[in-house]
Amino acid sequence: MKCTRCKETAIVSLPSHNAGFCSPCFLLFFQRQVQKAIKDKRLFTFADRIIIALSGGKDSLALAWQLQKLGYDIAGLHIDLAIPQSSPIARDHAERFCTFNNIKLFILELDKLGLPIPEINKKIKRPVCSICGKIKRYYFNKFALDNNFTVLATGHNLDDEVARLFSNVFRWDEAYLGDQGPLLPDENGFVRKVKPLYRLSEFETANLCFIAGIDYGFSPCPYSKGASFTFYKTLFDELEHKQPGSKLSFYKGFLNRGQKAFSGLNMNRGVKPSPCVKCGYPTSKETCGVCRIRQMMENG
Amino acid sequence: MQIIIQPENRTKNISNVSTVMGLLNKLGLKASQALVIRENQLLTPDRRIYQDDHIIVRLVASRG
Ligand code: SF4
Ligand SMILES: [Zn+2]
Ligand SMILES: [Zn+2]
Repeated sequence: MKCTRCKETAIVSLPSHNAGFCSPCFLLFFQRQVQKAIKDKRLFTFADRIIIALSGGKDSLALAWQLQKLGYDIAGLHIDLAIPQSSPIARDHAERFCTFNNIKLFILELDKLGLPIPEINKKIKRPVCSICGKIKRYYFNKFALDNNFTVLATGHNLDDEVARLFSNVFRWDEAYLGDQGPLLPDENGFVRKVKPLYRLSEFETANLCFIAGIDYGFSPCPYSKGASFTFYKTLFDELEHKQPGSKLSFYKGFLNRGQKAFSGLNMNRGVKPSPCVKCGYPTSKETCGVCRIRQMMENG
Repeated sequence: MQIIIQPENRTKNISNVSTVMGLLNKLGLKASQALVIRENQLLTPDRRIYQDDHIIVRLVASRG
């Protein structure tokens, strides 16, 4: 197969774009997809201070690499979950990547914050993932606001977004459908959240990491069986294989034609959050979710 | 041929395949589910592979 742009031997085949690319042309393709996402959805500008949620996995590292290449004002934030089997490896990848690429990295340790995930897992019956996600969202948001970052960027890719969208559609979850998208504006005590990789598949970010020489974390979280959407991702791999391009068109169709209807519904219904009495974080209850988890941990 | 499957670094012996696509099919993978690497170069599904090649199949998924 020949590169669609320059006719050299292709090293990546992308049926969804009806194209194949050599290394330099793939890098250009990837960069243009990110630029298009930023421009089309007005995610941020060069004036913004952007904090990137850096898990140490391929998507967040690919995102940081690309935004730095484009010249944006970025820093990374890694949350060390204190899971012995996976956290040290993830953290190590984030640290080495940032040192090598000269990116400022902040680290928050859940152990020191009294919220180590394995200890929380011992105290609850349901899968720890929903709490883990809640804690991460809380600290990413809080850290961004406390340190005057104007944008929080995450490495969610097209596969993540499509799987989430499908699961929301499957349950006809109006509230989530109204909120889902690559841009959540800042409001009610939340920082602006963006997903600049929403046009790129997991396969494409893996290729980017290989070509750019980014070494990413492989060690799976021991609790990942509770992680969402695995099954939907497998389903969509099958669909994409039969109908290349269907993932991107499903997601774009939602953004262009579906989402408005649902966000309209939310505006009439949503409870406006007010500050948590303990920590000030926006919440619909008196005390926010994370303060309640901390209370549970302190009560032994 | 000897292949290494990452991230687990399992080795596997596969015979009677002559293209990357054939190899992926034998492993039950779609082309978008793995990178296929020979001598530090990525290979597209149409590329020919040979019995004495050393090939790495790196699974893409970060799923459970
Ligand atoms: S798999 Fe669950 S517990 Fe593990 S890091 Fe992800 S959300 Fe947290
Ligand atoms: Zn080219
Ligand atoms: Zn609180």
